[in-house]
Amino acid sequence: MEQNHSPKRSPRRQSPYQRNRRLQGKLLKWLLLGSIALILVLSLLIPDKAFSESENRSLAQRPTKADLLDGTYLQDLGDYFADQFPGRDFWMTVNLGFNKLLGQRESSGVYLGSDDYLMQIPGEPNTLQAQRNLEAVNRFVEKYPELNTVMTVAPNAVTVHADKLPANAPVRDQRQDLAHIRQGLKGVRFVDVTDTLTAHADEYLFYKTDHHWTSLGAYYAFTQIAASLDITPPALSTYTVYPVSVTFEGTLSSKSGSHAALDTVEIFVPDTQIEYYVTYGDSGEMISSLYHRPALEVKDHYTVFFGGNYPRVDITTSADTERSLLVFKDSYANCMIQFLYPYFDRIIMIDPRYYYDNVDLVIKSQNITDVLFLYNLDTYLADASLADVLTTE
Amino acid sequence: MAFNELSFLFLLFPAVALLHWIVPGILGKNILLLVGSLVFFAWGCPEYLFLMVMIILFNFFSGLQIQQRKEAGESTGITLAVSVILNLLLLGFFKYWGFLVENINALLGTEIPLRQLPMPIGVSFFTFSVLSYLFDVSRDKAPASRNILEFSLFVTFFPKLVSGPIVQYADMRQQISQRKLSKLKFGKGCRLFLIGLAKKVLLANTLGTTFYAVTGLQSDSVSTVTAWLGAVCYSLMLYFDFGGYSDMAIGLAQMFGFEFEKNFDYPYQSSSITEFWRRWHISLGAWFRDYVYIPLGGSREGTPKTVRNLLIVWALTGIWHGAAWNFVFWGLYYGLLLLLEKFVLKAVLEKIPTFIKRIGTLILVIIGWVFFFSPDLSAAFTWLGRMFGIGGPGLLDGTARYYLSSSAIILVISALSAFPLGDRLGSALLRSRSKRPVYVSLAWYAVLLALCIAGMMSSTYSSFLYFQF
Repeated sequence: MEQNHSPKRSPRRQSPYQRNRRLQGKLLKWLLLGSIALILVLSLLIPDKAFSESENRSLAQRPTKADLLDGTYLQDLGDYFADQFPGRDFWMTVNLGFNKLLGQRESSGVYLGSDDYLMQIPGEPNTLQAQRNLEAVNRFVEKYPELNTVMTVAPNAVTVHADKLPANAPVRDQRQDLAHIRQGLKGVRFVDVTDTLTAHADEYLFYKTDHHWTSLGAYYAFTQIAASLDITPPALSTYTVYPVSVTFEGTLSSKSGSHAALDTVEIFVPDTQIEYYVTYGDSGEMISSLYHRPALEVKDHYTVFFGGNYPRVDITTSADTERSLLVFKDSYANCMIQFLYPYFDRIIMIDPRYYYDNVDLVIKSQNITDVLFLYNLDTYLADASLADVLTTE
Repeated sequence: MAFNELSFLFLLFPAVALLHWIVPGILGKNILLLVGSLVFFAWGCPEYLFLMVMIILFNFFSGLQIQQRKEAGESTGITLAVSVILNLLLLGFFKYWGFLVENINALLGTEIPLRQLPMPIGVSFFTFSVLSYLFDVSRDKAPASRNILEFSLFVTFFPKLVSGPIVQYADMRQQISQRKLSKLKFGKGCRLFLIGLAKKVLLANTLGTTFYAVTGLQSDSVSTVTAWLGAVCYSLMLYFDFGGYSDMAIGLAQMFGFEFEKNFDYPYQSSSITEFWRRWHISLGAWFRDYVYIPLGGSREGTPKTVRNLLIVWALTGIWHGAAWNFVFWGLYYGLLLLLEKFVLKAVLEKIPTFIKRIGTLILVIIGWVFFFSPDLSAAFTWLGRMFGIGGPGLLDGTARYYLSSSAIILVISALSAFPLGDRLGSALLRSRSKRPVYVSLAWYAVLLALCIAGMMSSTYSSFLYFQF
């Protein structure tokens, strides 16, 4: 700056440093403005999308004149621009890659494990609700001592596939949580399947991109629950296994933004002549399959089991065992029914999160003989609906 | 609205920059910048636009009246006092009302209902700018503005509106009516903006993931190393967040021809607390010095008064940062450290090698931030206890190892960036006769910009998860 005599310096009298700084400024101006212009042109040229497959949600659309009046126009414009940003998924992948490069081993509450395993980080339990649920189950057993009541709360992938976790990743001790549940229950046959599952931890027991267990995971759990239900479980080899999808990208993929792996969804068909049909709630609609083929056309292939969660689903079979099973459940149970149906005349699945009718009536009218509570631990500890359904008068 | 939002970088900024370039004459450019600033303000809180107009008008006429009374030889005291108090009441209403009501209720057992309104963005900053105007006018440091356009631009100028720097009226006045635009300035501004953006998006936000994870842990699973890791992450994160934002602000202002003083000057290399506050949030320190400390008498009226003045300034500095007791405590903590440094330990400190003093200062500053980031005083003391081995699962556990390994790289990069090494390296390379270093630096900034866009984009990522458990 020492030779700064006149405002218009001729390039020749600049030091190399000044010349380089000046050139750098000019280039950076073009870099910044050019990048902005390029992105703007691209976002004008690329047609708007209505839905993001990878995020599993609807994207914001161009704000209307009505928004201008209620004062949210500018905010909406910002959301619209961000949602329709050119190469949205590409930038996500870049960002996740950069963060992984920096050593991050989790993304939005999901551990990025080895072998492309994504694992939901279990949340803090809702202690009050969990206690309420326990007491409600105990009261239920007191009320129906003649029923064979069995409860299984499945551990999650972080426990079963603990070897796939990032090194030293802090995780809740799910075994301790399960022990706590077992201690709190009275008169219920509690089946802890943790050891059975971890014994097979080298197999494909949980989806890599989804929070559910695979049919294989459910099978191993079934082999252990079976005794409590007086069932002799058939050997794995007796089932015919059909891989119905090899392109499953589950909710953990969406949540973490990591799209490194695709999962295979398998269905296990038992070796039996027993026939059945499925009815959904009050609709009376009858379907002759546990499997819902259209699910394979949409994003969540796990919904191939019953097409998702419904308040009540009835499975009526030709088993003729004079036993009827009532299942209180979350979605982990959806792929368990394929193992259970040959042993009951009727299975009634109730999802307390969506069910508001009277349970007592169901038990009486359907001649229920067995009851199974089937949950996964992470949902169970946060669930606020089980106690309500069990105590409805 | 913030500079690191996509809608700012890709919508408002290019629109303002393009029009600023096209519109001829300083008047046209100022009108444009004012409109742009009001849009910027209204983006986040359109409901406060009218309030903003009222604030501008009120202070504009207050300034004129102070000037008038002065010219007529009358006392300006009452006009000044009324205007200042009204501004402070407004700030108080938005920022401190909830705090006040909570404390009154707790003390007297009353149940005064509380309905907290959202704060207008930048209210702490533009109120202080406006106060500087009123004081400057009353003290002849600058004449009152007779141009409502220029005054409005001084109050709302979007680069400094949200997070400063708190530019004093006397320093900005002339630049509004006459300033030189040049390609050189624009280029310099772009560079500073990109540096600031990278600090905010790449460093601060990444450090934030570790910081928030660690502070979200159950208190009894925080080991000594985890506690220090959290505090160190926060110290760096706050610096790059606020410092990066200031860089972006100054860079943007520069693109439009304004020269603002730097707001941060590598504070973590300070070898004393006094030096730290000359390097951290410089414009706020200057504001309290010029408008509180010196008017109270500064250090000219004997030791007892100096002590009083320092404690007043630091209690105010604390509460300015947030309406909670832990901020007051944090302010007084610095007040006491400065008193110790000034009056008690002066002779001792002179004998200690600079290297040791730097480490000591850094540790004291990190401890200070614990009061800053904790939700309340008892949480702060619990966290400090963990840092010094009281409670918790010991020195080092698996959790600490996990977070150490996942943040090690970003910590090293951030720690290096907190010192002027990169800056010096860049300057040294550009002294070369060859132009090649310029092109290398261009590639470097291009990568930073791409990563920033990816980071900004990802912060809008929200998967809708209808969890079918």
